[in-house]
Amino acid sequence: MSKMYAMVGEFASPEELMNAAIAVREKGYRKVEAYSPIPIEGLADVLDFDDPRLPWSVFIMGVLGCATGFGLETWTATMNYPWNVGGKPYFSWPNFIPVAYELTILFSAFTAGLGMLILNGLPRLHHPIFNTPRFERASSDLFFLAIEAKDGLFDREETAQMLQDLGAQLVSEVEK
Amino acid sequence: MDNNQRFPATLQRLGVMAVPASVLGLILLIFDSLHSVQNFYHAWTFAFDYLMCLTIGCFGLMLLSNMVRAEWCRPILRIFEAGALNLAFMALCVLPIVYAAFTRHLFPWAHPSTVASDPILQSRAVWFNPLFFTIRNIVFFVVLTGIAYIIRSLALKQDLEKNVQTAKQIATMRASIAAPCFLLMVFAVTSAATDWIMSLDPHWYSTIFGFHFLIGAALCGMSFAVALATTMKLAGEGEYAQMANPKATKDWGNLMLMMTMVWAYFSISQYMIYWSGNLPLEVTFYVQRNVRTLAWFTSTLIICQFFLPFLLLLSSRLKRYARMLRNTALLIFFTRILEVAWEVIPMFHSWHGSDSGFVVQFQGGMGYLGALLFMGGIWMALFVRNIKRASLIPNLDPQILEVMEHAH
Repeated sequence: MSKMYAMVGEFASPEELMNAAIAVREKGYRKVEAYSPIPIEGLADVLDFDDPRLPWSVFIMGVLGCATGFGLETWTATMNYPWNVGGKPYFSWPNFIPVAYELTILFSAFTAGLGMLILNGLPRLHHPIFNTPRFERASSDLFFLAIEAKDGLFDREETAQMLQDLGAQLVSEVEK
Repeated sequence: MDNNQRFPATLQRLGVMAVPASVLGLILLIFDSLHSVQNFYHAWTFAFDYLMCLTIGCFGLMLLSNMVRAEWCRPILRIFEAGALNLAFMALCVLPIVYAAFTRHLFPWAHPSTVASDPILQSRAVWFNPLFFTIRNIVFFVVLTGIAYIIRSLALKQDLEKNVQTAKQIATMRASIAAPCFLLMVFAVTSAATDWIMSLDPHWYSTIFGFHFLIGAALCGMSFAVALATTMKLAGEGEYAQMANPKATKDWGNLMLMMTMVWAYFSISQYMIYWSGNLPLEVTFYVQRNVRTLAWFTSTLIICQFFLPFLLLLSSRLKRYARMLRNTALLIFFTRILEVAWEVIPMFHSWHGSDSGFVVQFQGGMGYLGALLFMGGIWMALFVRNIKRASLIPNLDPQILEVMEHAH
């Protein structure tokens, strides 16, 4: 039992996957993951996928990038190496905006890219879901719904039966 | 057209309220114009420029909706169309301004003694003379109104078309007409904004002005449509209860976020280039707007037209809730009035060389509010009338037609 990863149902269409996901959530399962070759509108809502960590880290790093750019220019232009340019004041903030702007974009773009990888647990050499039969077709024409064994409601027979009843064309036990 | 869906009460109320508003506006405008006829022209120009912003915004977004065929534009396309058709009304409103080109009330380049003592205005006279100004205005309104009516009639024709193949052909035709028209609009509006607003100042010029006007117009039209659609959704009126769903509001919010950022980008570019160059001819625009009360006004604009909407629209949660999105759209919409006031009204002073700023102008300036209410009221009433003439939600998408066909 401890080697069990999840019970995986295979569905033929996005509608069936969507209906199954809704039903499974209503039964009270929480550790549910869906795999689909195409984005399905509303699926993330059904599975209650709402991770605020990425947007917030992008925002915070963006603000930090803005502060870094503006701070760097302020420090160099007014303290470190004050230089008279065209009779302008040392603290010429309108001219600091492009650098602050660029660093805002740079910091937030890097955070978005790297943060996505880190929060997804990537790079990773293998994932138990790939033990699912025919799972390679999750990127062409099949739709999968996995209920992880960690879920409190998980029961070998019951969960399998439920997926069967929801119209899964194949239900498989997937090991770690 | 189809009366099985009741006409939304929000639009009905807007159309009814527009009438007393314009009467009140007319009273204020007349009262103010009695002091001096100058007041009338100033107030009229301000109101015209603002409503032109709204109309061009609707017009441009209508063309865009016809080009991209995206799902987000379907619920608000009729709002854009109805706004764009008001170009015909705006063509009437431009008449006093064209008349002012022949008198000495508005434009420094139309003032013979000013031109006689000013070499810059003399060399500009090739472009800025009353006759050519009139011709440009006529061409502008004839061409743009024509485009608006053609696109609208094609959209209505496609709506009623039963044959999927023909409907598809019309959809392609709309897209291939709209794309070059969009390009044409950018040139036309650049010239028109230069005429109506920039040439109020004798010397100042900015090459980004047309784009700046256009992005302001886009913000104006988009926030207007979003505010209306979300209000109707909140009241559960018509098809809007379903159409203005979180998916659509997210797209609308993202578009407003993009426009807010482009607005800021153009504004700061213009400011930074002039600030760095520090040439007397160019900096006057900002110097005039950074004295006394106007400096507060400028700061308010930066906060309400950029920082507030930008930070609000960043949140994906806000874009899912119609109520919060509506309030943000209203903030943008009303700040647009302030920005046009900030841009246009100080122009009247640069000519007369007064630096006493805004306060003086606003004390004797109930006319500005009056002109805005008068013209805006009629605009709204006509807008509601235009919207009533077609089904509220177009049935345009050929893909949807295809799905319906397969379902049989």
